[in-house]
Amino acid sequence: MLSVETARERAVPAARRSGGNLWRITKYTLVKGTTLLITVIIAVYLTILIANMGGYVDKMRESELRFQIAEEINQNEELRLLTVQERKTYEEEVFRVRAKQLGLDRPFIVKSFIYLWNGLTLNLGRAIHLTSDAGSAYVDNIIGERLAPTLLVMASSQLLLFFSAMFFALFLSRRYGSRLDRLVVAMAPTSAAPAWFYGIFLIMIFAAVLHWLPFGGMIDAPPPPGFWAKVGSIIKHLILPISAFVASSFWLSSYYWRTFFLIHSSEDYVDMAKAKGLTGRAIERRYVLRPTLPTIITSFAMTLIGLWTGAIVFETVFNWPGLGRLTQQAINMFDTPVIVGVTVIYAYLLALTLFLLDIVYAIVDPRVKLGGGENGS
Amino acid sequence: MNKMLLEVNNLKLYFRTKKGPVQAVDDVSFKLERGKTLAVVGESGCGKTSLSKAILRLLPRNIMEYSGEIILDGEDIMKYPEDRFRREIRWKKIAMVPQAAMNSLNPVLRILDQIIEPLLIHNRDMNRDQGLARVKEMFRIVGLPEDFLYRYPFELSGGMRQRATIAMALVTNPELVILDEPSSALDLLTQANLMNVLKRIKHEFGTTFILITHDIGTASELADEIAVMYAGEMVEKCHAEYFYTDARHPYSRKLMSSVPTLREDKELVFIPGQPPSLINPPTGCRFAERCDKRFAKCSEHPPTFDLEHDQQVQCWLYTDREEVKHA
Amino acid sequence: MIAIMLFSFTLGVAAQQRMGTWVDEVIIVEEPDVSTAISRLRAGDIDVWATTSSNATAFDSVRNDPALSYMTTFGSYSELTYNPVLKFNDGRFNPFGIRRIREATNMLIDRDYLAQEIYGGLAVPKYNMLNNSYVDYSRVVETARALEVKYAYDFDKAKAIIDEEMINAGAQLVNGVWHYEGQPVEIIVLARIEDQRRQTGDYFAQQMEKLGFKTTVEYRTGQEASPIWLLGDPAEGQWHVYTGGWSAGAVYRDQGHIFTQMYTVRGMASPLWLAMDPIPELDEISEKLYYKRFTTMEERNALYSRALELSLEDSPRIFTVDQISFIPKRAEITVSSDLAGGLSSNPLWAMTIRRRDEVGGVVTVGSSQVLVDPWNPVAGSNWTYDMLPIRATFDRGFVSHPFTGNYAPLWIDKVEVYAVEGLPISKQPDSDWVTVTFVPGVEAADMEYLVQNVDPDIKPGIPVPEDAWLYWDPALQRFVTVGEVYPGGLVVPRKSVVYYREDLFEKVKWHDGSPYTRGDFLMQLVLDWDRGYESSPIYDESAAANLPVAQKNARGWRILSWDPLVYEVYSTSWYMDAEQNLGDIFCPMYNYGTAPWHTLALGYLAEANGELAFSASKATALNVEWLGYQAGPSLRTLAKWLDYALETNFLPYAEFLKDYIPEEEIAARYANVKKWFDEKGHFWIGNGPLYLERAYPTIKTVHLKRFEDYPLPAGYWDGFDEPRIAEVEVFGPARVTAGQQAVFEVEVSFRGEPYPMDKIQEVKYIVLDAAGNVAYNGYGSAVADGLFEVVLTPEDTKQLPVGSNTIEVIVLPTLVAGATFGQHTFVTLP
Repeated sequence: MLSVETARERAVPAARRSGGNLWRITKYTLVKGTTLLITVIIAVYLTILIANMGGYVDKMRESELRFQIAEEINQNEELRLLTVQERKTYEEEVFRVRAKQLGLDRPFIVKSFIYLWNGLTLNLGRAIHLTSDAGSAYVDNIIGERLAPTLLVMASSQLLLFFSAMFFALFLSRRYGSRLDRLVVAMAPTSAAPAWFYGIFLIMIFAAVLHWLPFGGMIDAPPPPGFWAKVGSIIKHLILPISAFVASSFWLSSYYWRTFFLIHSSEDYVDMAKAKGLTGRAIERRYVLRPTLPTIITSFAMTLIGLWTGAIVFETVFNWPGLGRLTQQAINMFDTPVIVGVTVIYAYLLALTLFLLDIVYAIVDPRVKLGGGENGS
Repeated sequence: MNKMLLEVNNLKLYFRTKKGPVQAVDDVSFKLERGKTLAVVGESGCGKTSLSKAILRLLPRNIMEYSGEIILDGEDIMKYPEDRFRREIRWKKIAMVPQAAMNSLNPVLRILDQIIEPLLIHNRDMNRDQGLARVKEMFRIVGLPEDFLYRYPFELSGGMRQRATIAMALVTNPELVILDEPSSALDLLTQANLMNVLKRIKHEFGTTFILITHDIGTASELADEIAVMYAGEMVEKCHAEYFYTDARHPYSRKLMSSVPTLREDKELVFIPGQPPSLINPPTGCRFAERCDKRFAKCSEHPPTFDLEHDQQVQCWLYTDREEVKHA
Repeated sequence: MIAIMLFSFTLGVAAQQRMGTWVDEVIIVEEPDVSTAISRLRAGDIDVWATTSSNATAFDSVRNDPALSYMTTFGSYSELTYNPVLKFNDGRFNPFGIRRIREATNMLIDRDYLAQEIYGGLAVPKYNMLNNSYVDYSRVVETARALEVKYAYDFDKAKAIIDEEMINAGAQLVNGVWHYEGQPVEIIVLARIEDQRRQTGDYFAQQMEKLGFKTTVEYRTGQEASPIWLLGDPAEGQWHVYTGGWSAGAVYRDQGHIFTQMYTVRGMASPLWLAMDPIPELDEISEKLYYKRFTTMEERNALYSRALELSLEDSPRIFTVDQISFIPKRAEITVSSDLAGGLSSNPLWAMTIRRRDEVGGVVTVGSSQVLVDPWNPVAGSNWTYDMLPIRATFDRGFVSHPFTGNYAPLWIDKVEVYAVEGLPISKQPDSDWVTVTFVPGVEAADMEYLVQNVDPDIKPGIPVPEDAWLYWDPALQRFVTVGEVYPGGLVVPRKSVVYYREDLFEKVKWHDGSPYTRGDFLMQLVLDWDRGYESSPIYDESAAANLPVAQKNARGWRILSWDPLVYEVYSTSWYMDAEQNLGDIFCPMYNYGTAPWHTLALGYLAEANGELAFSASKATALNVEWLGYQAGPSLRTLAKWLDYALETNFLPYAEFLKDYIPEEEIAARYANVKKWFDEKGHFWIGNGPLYLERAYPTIKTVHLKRFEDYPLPAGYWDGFDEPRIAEVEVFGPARVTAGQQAVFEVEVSFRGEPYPMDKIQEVKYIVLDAAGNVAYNGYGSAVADGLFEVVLTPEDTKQLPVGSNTIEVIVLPTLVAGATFGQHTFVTLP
């Protein structure tokens, strides 16, 4: 007959555990950190290569520059009086100076590593063509300027969407088959249309026809004097973008989480909880949400990271000064320092988040141990 | 206090499925005295688990029919509104140890938190310390070391989890505990252990058990009454001692013959064929197809006949006996 | 008493004229998309969208909406450039290496189809490199029209010629596909994808396929294509045809240089250009036109006509369409728009913009981009989007007429042009502010300083006084004189004496209240030169490249009088339009805006101390911010240097400028700008009708306000609000008998009003025969305002071909650059 003593033997002695813990966590940090770093390096370097088409972009720049200079010379009356030789010298000299500014005086492969190193050390440097809205040439200003507006609209939209969809979904998961539930399922495909699509319609209705809300932009032009007036104006301008964003994803998000919660609600221990006589609320909280916390947190973390990349078309439709548009501009102009800046910050954020997520999992889900290791018998 | 703790009359539980309605519990009636153990036996899929769920009103989403009477301690709890049922019945009066307790415990909560939960919910005036004391007591009873309270379910072996679940079922001192296949996933030694625990509890607290199992042998240790379910119906019910020697229903007899006994040299018989589908079950006796004793009358649905020693059987073979009328 | 005072007061107020702009405020906002812009226009969210668009659908919706109207601009045109190399390095045969084939392709494309179908009506067919809104077109209209007839779309004719030439070259047509030395002749069309050039490329490929050439189209963006066709070696044969496009920023009065640019190896230092092999006569004529080696307009027109003919014969590129772009606006808005460049290249937009007859109010202008690069007048942003607001903030001495491209005076009062005899300089009949005097040329003792390319036939000309200032010398800290650099003397073909308005210094004010003084233009001149010298604290490599050229070209200038300001300039360059032969010392720095000397001084301090840089290339080299006066990180640095300047009463180039800028002025200036900066928060100060109230970089908004001390009255530029394009109707006999006089009446009007006689430059006519060939031409004469006549004498009519004729009258006004054509068909009887 099995005794209590045998059971006790099976458990790992507590003392041995904690010493092993520290070593295990340290090892985990090092290994994970290094892996993530290597991934970041590769990702950034690939981005540099692709953004420069392997160096072809330099050729394009050179060609454009020469064309530009030739045009200027042709349209400049004074230069007509130069001899062909003099003109050539002049053209070469102008080209040399401007090429240097565009970084065309160095071979691409050399530049690629300089970009990589600068990017990784977050020494973002100067942009090639782009200037920040205020005219700064420095990439951290260029990106920094757009950060707050991007976060403002994206954070409000995404967070509103995330929490409203999730809690609505929880509510729905207890009402499977109800009319509301069926409505959500039917409405889910409406999320096939992206946020900017909804945006266009909302603008058409509320701005073009009804004149209730502005067409776009972040604040009235020119901005009203006074702090609260400015805040009010920004809020007014946020209404349509947030609405478009939430409207486009709400149904699908709710559907997704509702299905997710439904699946997890059919776990045995949820039934058990019901059998034990817990209220619906209590079951939701402790038996549905708690065990699925890792997934929810992951989703939330990914949402948070995605906040700052912005959304190109969305920002274009709403004329919002965001990072999405900036990134697109940078890509179109092959402005490597800016592209690298955006990529590397995103990569670091992502790597950091992944790293932290593992730790969060371990805290939140007792089944997970940092660095693997044996589970209970 | 009534002597009769539980009286189930005409309990029906049908599910809606794509293929048609599944008549999982089809007009089941029985009585159970306080302090006694009823073993409900039958093949897989005969509706035993559905019966336990029906009693605790753990209904699935695709419920189609749920009717009948469940009279607990003199009151028909079927009539209770949902919230009253939750507050007064679940875990307070009736508790359950489900089949495959592997997954019955919330993986992210400590054992202690899960066990103490129903205690605190159903007893507002109890504080945590009092609860803790009670839980520790439960652990003692089921024979688990105290420090396992602070562990998570995945750190326990199957057998330990089963015992923890039992502790959880008992912590509020319910009057009726339904155990669904409590030892089917466990090895023999643990099984035996478990039975001992149950016997001890029954002895110490006088808890009424409904033990659902397909393992008649194990049931014999604990059961006072045996009920046999076949295809959603309760085809026989009698006191345990008579069952093993004098089962009446052909199916019950066949069941008994299929159990190996240690000392007898028995030729094991198996029952050919499959139980009928619970969707559109046959109109006559549901066992008729596999029964070697069938005859013409079996194409009609047999009523329940009352035999001696409070034995009831649903079979045309006993047509000369009195029919049991259920309310 | 009080009543009388009140009465005269209100009268006085009423009589007080409104100065400056009609509107009180202009807000420029960002609107990147034309369709959204139109929605916003309809909703009244914006009043005009300043960026041009060639979106045919959008154009239709504007045209059909009574609440909206539009202005058109021409300015871009498309062409098909050919790879002229006959045999590629790998042996492949290129049919476009054969001149006659290239020439024939002119007839291969249906330009009407392109203009109407592909461009949706927002284009006109283009046969040669002249836009028919240009003055030069009217000058050689007979040739131009004849060429249009000669090269009109005729697929069969083109096919016949091309077939002939292919066979001559040794190719065979096998199964309808051309083969050369056994290989099918494959054509690669490099098509740009950003606009209708994509469809044009497809269309051309189709036509080539019909001829029997296996054609593929490769789609590329501008950036991708550029290394292939521009930098790449055409002999590599990566492409045969490229869909090129060019744009014109202004109404050009003299397109003489364009043959050299487009048809000769001197056009560009690109392998493609170097591979060009123009007809020798064309090459010669190009050079003559480029260096203006002709003495009369007739001579020029003849050269030009011949060049046109030859250019089409040679056809290293063929032209497809002239694009029309439009600027949408609300119907009640009027504003002056340059016919080529739209609003942003027109300095008059600010003064003319108005909502119906409203005085005051706010106008919102949408622009596809706003605040692109930092603003500074030395080497700041040159984006048209930035120039839109910048141009409104400053004046030059003259303005460029938005419809003719010619010059009109603003702060200049009058100009005397002196030119050597033999230069074809002439003026418009209504330009009474300019006079032209021809003087006999004078030989110089020492000729070697002469730039080699000036026409040796032209007598060098007008001697330059020894004491005229030539260029800035940083070592001497003054301008060196002509006598010092050219001891042997200096002569020039042209000199101009420019008289500024007498009230110039009294009236012109900078936005911060500082009066305009001579220090302002002197500082600009000095600073501009100084940057090119290595020894300068603000030395800039990009300016250094320019320096030797500028020094070489400098011929001297003098201030004849400081107040009123009279300035005399000597130059080797001259323009056929007398009005353009001026120099403007009032605003020497205008390319990127202008600034008073005291804000320039702040920039000087910042750059000299290595904290900011005027030019982007120097900013990169120093790793500092590119200097922007309007907003941004520069402002902090500039504010710091302002404090320094206030303390020390700082004056750059003090040794020279101290004689022209008194101490009080220095102190006053810095005090003014400090007050300005404290209020407005930026340093962009101009002297134009609008001032920058505030630039909002992140939300892309520019807030401009009316400058109340602007000295010119509102409505000063009335008459520039819309181009007075002549409407021409020709009346005359239906039958003309050869040998008898025929008189045709030409009615010229604008919006129903007769066109004033003195506003018409000339009236020409050509007579086309039934086939469309030019049979006869001549001039008409003025009868009265709005009425001209063409008289065909009996001798004239005898020369007319018998049969159906069309007389086409070409009326060229002075108020717009483009001529209007009127036609009348008649029958000539023998």
